[in-house]
Amino acid sequence: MKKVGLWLLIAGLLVSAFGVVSAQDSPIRVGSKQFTEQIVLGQIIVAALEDAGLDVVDRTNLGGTQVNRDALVNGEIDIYAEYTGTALYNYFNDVPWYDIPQEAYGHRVLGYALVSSLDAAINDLVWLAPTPANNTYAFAVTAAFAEENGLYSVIDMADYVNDGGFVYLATGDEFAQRPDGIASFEETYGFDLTDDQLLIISNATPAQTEQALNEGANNVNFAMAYSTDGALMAYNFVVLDDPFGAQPIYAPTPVIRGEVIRANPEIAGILNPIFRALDNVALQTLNAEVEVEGLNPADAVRAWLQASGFIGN
Amino acid sequence: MIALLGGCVASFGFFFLPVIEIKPNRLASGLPVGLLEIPGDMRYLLLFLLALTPMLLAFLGERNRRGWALAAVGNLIVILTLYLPALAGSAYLIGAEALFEAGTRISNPRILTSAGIAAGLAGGYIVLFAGLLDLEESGASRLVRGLAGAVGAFVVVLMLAGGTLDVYSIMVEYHSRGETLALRFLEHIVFVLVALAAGLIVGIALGLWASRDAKTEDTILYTVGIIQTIPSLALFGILLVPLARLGDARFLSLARDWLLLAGFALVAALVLRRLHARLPERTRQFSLIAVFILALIPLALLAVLIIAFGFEVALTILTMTELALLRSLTGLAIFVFPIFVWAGKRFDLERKLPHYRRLRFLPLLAAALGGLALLAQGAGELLGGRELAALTIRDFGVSGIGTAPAIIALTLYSLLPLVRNTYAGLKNIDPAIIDSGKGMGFTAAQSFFRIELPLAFPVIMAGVRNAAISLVGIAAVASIIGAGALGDFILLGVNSTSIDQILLGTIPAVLLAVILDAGLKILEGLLTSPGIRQA
Repeated sequence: MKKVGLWLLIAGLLVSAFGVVSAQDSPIRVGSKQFTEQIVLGQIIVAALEDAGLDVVDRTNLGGTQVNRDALVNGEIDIYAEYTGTALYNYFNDVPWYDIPQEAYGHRVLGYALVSSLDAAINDLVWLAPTPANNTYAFAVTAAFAEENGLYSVIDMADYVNDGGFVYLATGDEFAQRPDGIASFEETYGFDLTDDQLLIISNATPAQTEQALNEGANNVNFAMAYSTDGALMAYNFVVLDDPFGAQPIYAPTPVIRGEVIRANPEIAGILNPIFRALDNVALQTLNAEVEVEGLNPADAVRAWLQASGFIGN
Repeated sequence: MIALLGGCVASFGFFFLPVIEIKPNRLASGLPVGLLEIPGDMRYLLLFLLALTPMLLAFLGERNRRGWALAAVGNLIVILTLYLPALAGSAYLIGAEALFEAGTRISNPRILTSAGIAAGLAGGYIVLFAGLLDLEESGASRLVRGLAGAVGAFVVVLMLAGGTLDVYSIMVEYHSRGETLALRFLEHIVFVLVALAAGLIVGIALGLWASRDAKTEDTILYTVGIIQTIPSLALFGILLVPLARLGDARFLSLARDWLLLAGFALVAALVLRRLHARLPERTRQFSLIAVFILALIPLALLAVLIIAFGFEVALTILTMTELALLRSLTGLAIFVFPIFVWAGKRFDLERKLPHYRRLRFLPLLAAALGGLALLAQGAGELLGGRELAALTIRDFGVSGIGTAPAIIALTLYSLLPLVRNTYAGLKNIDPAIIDSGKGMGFTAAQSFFRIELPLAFPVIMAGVRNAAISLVGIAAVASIIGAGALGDFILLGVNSTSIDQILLGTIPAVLLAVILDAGLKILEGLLTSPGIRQA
């Protein structure tokens, strides 16, 4: 009997300790993947929403693609910027009644329409306005080399390869082996790279292949790159244009949970104009400010948002 | 001889290797400059000559004087190796545009410390070490040697604080994005300590079980071994979804379910205990397993909740400035306790003062009270005065990303060394000792706490140190599920090939590992039973 009384007393104390009254809106949790551009995009969302007076939790630098996606689907974060191409390739493979049509990958509007409608229907996730930017695989060469050989797009590169010019391309294994990687370029532009023209670095990111090109290690003269990579500016590289769209479109787009956007519908009005203004040049400049000049991402983003008039001072 | 080696290392580095690289921006690789290539005055040549002097000093006859000379030269090499190139670097940066070919993007140029500096530091410390050895042999006291050894490091710390070395790229990086470094470091420390504490409880229990029960021995040891081989990425992925679901649950409903489950398990256990003898032989073990599982689920839930909540509270406390005084008093009280214990032994106060043995626990009591006050404050802050019915488990810190999965994964990873060493320590005790305890009338508990645990203690502590060091490394991975810690710097640095950012995360981690190991070693010395210390 004595013991029961003691437990009741403890339970009562606990309840009274917690039972303080007042309600609170849940803050908006912003995620991002773990590389410069994603952190920049995440900080843009954080700064814009904070400026609009919303309560924001900064969970940027969260982890890889899968962690961010799982966190969003499971309600651990509320918003992060995803690439349309990434979603097309990875998220809807197990939808039983639908296969992504091949032409959607290289088509900006069709790709966006597909991912946004599929995600809305299956996961109650809302894709806001996409950026006009396209962060996709590309070939990079040094500016001097480009000038010497007149290389400005993959068309020029195809001519250079077919004329028997020396090629040693630093690439990650994924880009070298995926059918939508180098193979897609070769098919679209009509050239063929042999295995001994490739320096395949296992699991390499563009940061590593670009470094290989910069140092000219093993006579590397081409490198796999991301088209919005800020490091391209540091190394004084030229990215070869892809006029025929051999690569899928990877347009960064904020994806938000339906529940959250319904509770705060003003978010669309805040973020859409900002992301519409983020073209390749703007994104590459921001990436370069962070990656090359070493600015703090939050500071760089805030300065850009202020200069573009999206947020007040 | 050692001094000779140090002089060689330093002067080799200064002569053949670049000491600095001038980087036009954060990423592009830099222009290497050797010490003797720096134009201008004679200081740089003097540093090179200074690095040569240990080779002469090594042949100096008198021990004491040689020791002092080597210690002085060693410290001086360390200081100047960092100071002079910084000076030269600032001079280079003023006219940086002229150094690079046209078209190079020059923004925020900086100085990368290169191999020559590493060689200089290593050489300087080898010379210093040689000097300290000489001083030890000529009978200098420990304090004097410690001071002589720390002078260089102290001056370097002063230079870091005073901004003299700000030209180096790692300092540039620190100033532009280091504001979160202290918090990340703190998270790292708390992760390691919390996981170690949780792992210690589970690990010692499992190790004890394995050493007593021949049937489960293999199962336990293999299971902890297998856990160690699961890649952390996979483990985090496995934990994400169930923890996210758990986080969605309302606190009240979970508490109700937990009580129901725990009550059910208790009743089932009581019933089975009664029935146990009457059950047919074959079903007996299944009844035990059923009770075990029933008891385990509520316990695991509770443990996850408590650990995650404790961690969130700890971070809240550590980052709240208003609590600084209470926090430091509590820390001081904890710190005072070992001093009391040491002083009691050193000056034999335990015998001289009648109540000393009991009084020495006063600071621990104060620390416990302070800790409780802190916990209450932190918990109040964390839950922010919301209605109990509105709280979800996520408000208590349990969610699929962040601290909860990180702590769980780290705890699991710490188990292998802890279980193995506890098991090995307990198994290797000579049974004759335990038997003699029995002969003296020891109960099982007395035998465990007075004979087995003290005898196994050094082996268990070796496992604890092992686990602590490896946890410092593994905790960096927690960053991939948004738990923060030093991995934030390391992984981001790797993804953008920024060495400075990687170092910014790595150096504190290395320091933490070294300090933790040394601290645990001291703790081991203090807690080891005096009876087995000589052996």
